[in-house]
Amino acid sequence: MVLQAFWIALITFFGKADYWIGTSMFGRPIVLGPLVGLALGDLSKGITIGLSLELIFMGMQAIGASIPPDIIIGGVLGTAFAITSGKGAESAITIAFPAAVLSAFIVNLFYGVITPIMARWADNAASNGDYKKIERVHIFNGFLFDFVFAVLAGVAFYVGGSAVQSFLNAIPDVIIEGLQVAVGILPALGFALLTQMIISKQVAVYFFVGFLLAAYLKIPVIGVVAFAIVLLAIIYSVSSFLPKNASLEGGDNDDF
Amino acid sequence: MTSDKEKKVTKKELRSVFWRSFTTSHSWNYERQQHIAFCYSMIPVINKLYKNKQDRIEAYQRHLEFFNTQTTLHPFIASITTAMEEENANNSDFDSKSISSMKVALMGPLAGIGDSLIGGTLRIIATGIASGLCATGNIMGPILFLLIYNIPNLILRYLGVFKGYKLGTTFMTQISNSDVMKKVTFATAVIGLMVVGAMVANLVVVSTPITIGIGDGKVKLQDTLNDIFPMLLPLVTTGIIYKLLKKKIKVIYLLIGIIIFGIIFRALGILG
Repeated sequence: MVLQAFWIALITFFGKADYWIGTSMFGRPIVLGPLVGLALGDLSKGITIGLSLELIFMGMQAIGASIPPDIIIGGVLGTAFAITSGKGAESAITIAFPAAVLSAFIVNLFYGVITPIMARWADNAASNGDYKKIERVHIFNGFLFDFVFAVLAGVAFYVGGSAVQSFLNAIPDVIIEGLQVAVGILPALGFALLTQMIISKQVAVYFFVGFLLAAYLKIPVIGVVAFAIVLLAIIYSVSSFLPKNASLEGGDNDDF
Repeated sequence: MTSDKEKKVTKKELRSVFWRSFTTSHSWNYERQQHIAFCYSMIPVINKLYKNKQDRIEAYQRHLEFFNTQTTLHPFIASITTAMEEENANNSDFDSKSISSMKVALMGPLAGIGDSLIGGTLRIIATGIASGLCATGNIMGPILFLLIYNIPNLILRYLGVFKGYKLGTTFMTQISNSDVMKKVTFATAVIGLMVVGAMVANLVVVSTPITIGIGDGKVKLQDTLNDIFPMLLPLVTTGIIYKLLKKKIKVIYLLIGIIIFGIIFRALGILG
């Protein structure tokens, strides 16, 4: 049992580390299922259950700030519980579901709190010109993330689905939901930093053009780029009618 | 400095970009998403091009800004960026802001194309073809799935780096005349800012569950806001954070503040 839990942890680590090797789909249930089958001594069942779970999870995609139940944890534990309980993929996923929801919460904790704080270390390293430290932050944070979920999956497999559920119930809702609100806002900080990087007095207004196109007309980003290109063409054609000294690059005396 | 035009990246650095760009999604976070991985993939290029410490520091910082695209297309953007960094290292008139604008102008649309064609279509095709074999418990199923997805994935990554760099350098030599350069800088800034504006509307999620009135006359405040000014709350939130940054408030305080703010405002029922 302990050895099996160790294999489950190792497979989860591999699935999560797919992010290090090009997001090459090694983390999908269709791939992890067979590995779990191999570890638990029933390869062909691992393959068929992996496929069922792949189809279950196919439609689940991250939308905005709400993270769906963790596919890797769900895939690994779903297959594991299906094989150990002898039930089908659908009933196994209900046993695996609490662990998948718990790990989605931990994903939020990493993406929203732990990694942004560690990113400060990279910022400090950059301002000292210490590129080796930037590399270390990248490697350490990434594999720490993988490791935490490996431990989670190993422990969840060992203690079983109902124990995970009761642990999940112990986390106050206000923390989970509050973090959900915070991770919705966090990209605003990234965009504000980015805007500082590329904005100048003469182009500030275009931020709002892009925003309004997306907010009111629901135009996707590709469409916004198409509008931007057309808009530039219009600006250049209009500028050819302007007197020479009122060129596009003027406006150094703007007070923004 | 007579050897100014001699700063060039070689195949060696491009190969490093190729390998390092595999790590796109590690260290992902909500604030700046794939930024650490992008900087990680640019480090060999930066170290090769810039000998001056201050130049290096600026370049590291430039590539620690927000970045997000479809993972397979990261190497392509990194190699275009490499060509621009090369121009920046050799040409003192070059505006390094345009590197950031170009990245933003490329990452949004390529994320859209990549997500639907690679993350969506290619993956679904691979799953579909492999599913017949998987259903019978055949080990060739998962192997076929990985091959169908990863052969195009690897080819796109490889071409992305080497063709992308060629494309970038050709483009740079064409625009190195300073008048054209100014226009290109302006154009990338316009596209970049419009993309950031659109992303604020699409990716910043702030909404309120507040209702006004009682009984049947109850009106959801969010619905009213959506009718008058959709995405007003994300815009205002981003604006406030931008102003706070301008006031030189440390990013780490803003970060922790946002998390505490989220929990308190959710608990009060103001946001959610």
